[in-house]
Amino acid sequence: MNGGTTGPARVLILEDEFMIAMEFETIVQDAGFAVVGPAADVDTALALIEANPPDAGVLDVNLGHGKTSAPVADRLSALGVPYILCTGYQTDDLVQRYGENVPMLQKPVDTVRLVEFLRTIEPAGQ
Amino acid sequence: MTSTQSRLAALVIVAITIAAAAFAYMSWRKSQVDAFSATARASLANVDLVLDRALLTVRAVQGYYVANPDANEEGLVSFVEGMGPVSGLRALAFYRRVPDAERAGVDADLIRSGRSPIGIWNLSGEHERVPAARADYYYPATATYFFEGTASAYGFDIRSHPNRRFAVDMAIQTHLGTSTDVLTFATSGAEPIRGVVFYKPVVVAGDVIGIVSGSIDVDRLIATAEAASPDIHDVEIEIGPLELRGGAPVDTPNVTDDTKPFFVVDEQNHSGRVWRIEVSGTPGVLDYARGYGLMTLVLLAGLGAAAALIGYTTAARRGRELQSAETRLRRTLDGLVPLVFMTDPAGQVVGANRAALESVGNDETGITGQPIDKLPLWEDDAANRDALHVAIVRAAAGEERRLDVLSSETELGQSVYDVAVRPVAAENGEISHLVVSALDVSERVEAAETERLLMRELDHRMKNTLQVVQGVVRRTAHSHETVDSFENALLGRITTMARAHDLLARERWLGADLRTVVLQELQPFEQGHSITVTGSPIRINPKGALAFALAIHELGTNAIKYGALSVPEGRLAIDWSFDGDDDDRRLVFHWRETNGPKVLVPERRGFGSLLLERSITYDLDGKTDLEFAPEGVACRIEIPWERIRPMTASIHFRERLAEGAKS
Repeated sequence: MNGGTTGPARVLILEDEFMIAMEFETIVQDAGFAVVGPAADVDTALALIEANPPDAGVLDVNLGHGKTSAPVADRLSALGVPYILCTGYQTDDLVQRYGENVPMLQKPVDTVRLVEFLRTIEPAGQ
Repeated sequence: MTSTQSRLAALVIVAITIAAAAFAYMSWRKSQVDAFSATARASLANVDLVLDRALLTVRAVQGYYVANPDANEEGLVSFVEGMGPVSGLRALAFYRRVPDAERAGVDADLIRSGRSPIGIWNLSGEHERVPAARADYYYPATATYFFEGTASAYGFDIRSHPNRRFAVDMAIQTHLGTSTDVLTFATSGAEPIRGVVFYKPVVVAGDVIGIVSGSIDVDRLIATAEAASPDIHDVEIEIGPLELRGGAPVDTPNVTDDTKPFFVVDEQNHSGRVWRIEVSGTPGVLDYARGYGLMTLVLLAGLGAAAALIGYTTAARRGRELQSAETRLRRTLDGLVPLVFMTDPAGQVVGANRAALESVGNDETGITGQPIDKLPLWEDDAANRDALHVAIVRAAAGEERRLDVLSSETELGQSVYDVAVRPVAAENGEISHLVVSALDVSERVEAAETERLLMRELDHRMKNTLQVVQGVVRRTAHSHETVDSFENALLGRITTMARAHDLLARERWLGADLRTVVLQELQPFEQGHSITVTGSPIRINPKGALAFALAIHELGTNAIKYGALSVPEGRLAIDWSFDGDDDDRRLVFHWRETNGPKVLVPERRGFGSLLLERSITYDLDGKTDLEFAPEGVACRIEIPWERIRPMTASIHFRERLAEGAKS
């Protein structure tokens, strides 16, 4: 998946707010994973995925200006890459949109639960 | 013509009609009266003729006896029959004067001849014949000629009759012809006959030797007069008292009575008495029909003309009323604030009110016949126009539709119209027109959008802020060795965020003025320092405001610790301006410190500078150049205007419209 090289699993971060992106980055790195991104918008995230598909994704749902991370979530689903959604809102249509099997975290994100999700990822190449 | 004039004209026509009808009636009436008068005169002429013929006969007999004083009955009969038929006369008789000395001889002759069994006789009160009472002279009937009937009166002394004696005596005394009042003749028939008897004295050598009488049947005369025409209903004959002073008989002219149109009177003088003959009647039914027909025709023609005039002017007035109603409607429509279009069921414009015309540049001919959804009034966006088109199609099917439509952008901005499309049914129930009204509800939409934005922004901010604080705490903890410095740095940052939120809350989270953000964040660092802020007020969005607040906080914290603001003579200049053209507009912000202590490039970049450099880049797609020049710290921030311009409701509305069109 990551070109045959061994190393920590790679986690894509999609989050439009810098402070939060950095927070996620810190959490992911502290948990022993490599960070892909962070990306602030869908286009950047999709470009990163096409360049080198990650092993997992941490996606902020609402990217501002009425945009959501749906295209990225769809792309990751298509590639079979697991991801977790972080959102300020917990609404029914969002659950229906992404399916009940997709894990979801409410902001402010519970670090412990995010790390638990990351631990379920099989490291690349193993 | 005004309605008053037309009413007046109609009145005049009615008046003329009535006058014409009255004239027609009077003419007809006059012709009727004249016709009747002629009829009556003809009838009277008949009566005259009969009377004259009868009286002439009586006079002729008088002359006969004057010439032949001793003539017997045979002589009378042959004389009368020699004159030919006489109508009107009932009987003729000759009464010979007999002196009392000759009575016995006359009696004997009468008895012997069988004419009278008692000789000369009188009529008693009981209508019985009795021998004549003693007198100097007797006037017994010695010869009679009956045109009708056979009643014999031989030997009857004429002077013994109470109703006739006066006339007889007058004839004997004056030697003039006289006549009786109207008498009732005794007849053998059931019907009594009314009549008048004329007496003519037979004077020979100044001596009255006898009397000739002629009786006339008045009823027969009346019947003759009445038979002249069916229009004559009644003929009356009155005979006046005997007046002999006038001498010769005189005919007076016919008299008509204006108060009795069909009444003609003729007065004639016959033998000392005035005959008043009254002829009355009515015109025939046909005549009446003709008269009323004429009148009706005249009236109908006149009233018809009046009705036609009134009808015409009423129609004209109604036409004017309709026209003025239309004008009123038009004025009302023109006075309306909403745009009102009238279209055919296919949505092609047939009319518009003033507001609508103004919205399309007062070009009525330009929009007439155009499909309403294709007017340049609406934003040229497929979804926008399609929504209106669908509404037109549905309304043409009888549904009322209501929708929001975006107008095209003008120098006054862009409007959202609340458009109602209503079908208008003709009398036959088919939809003949559509009324499309459009009310500019931009303000309302904007207010609703503002509220929606506010709610979204608030929610977003609330959740994110907690997350950010979590991150700030973690990062600040990582980069500060002592608890005190950690606390200060943390509190400073959190306070900055709180202040920015404060400002945004006052602006309803729609954005904030950059100058206000800058001045507010500089406040804690001022303390008598020379700070110059140059830059026009620019509204930026909440994200931009927060980013600038944090950036100024980090720069200011650094400046007050190590830079220009750490010494009294230090100076700080801040300015901002726009760069680039419309498509690529950028806000360029400068922070320049001078007159401070010599600047040393820090050995380690702290969280502050990291925040400053990466936050702007990451959140706002901008560029931050932080320069630790020896003469002073300088920072240049450049952000695409597109990323920090405040959102307006209409932009949001457009986005929503686009989303709606997709889904």
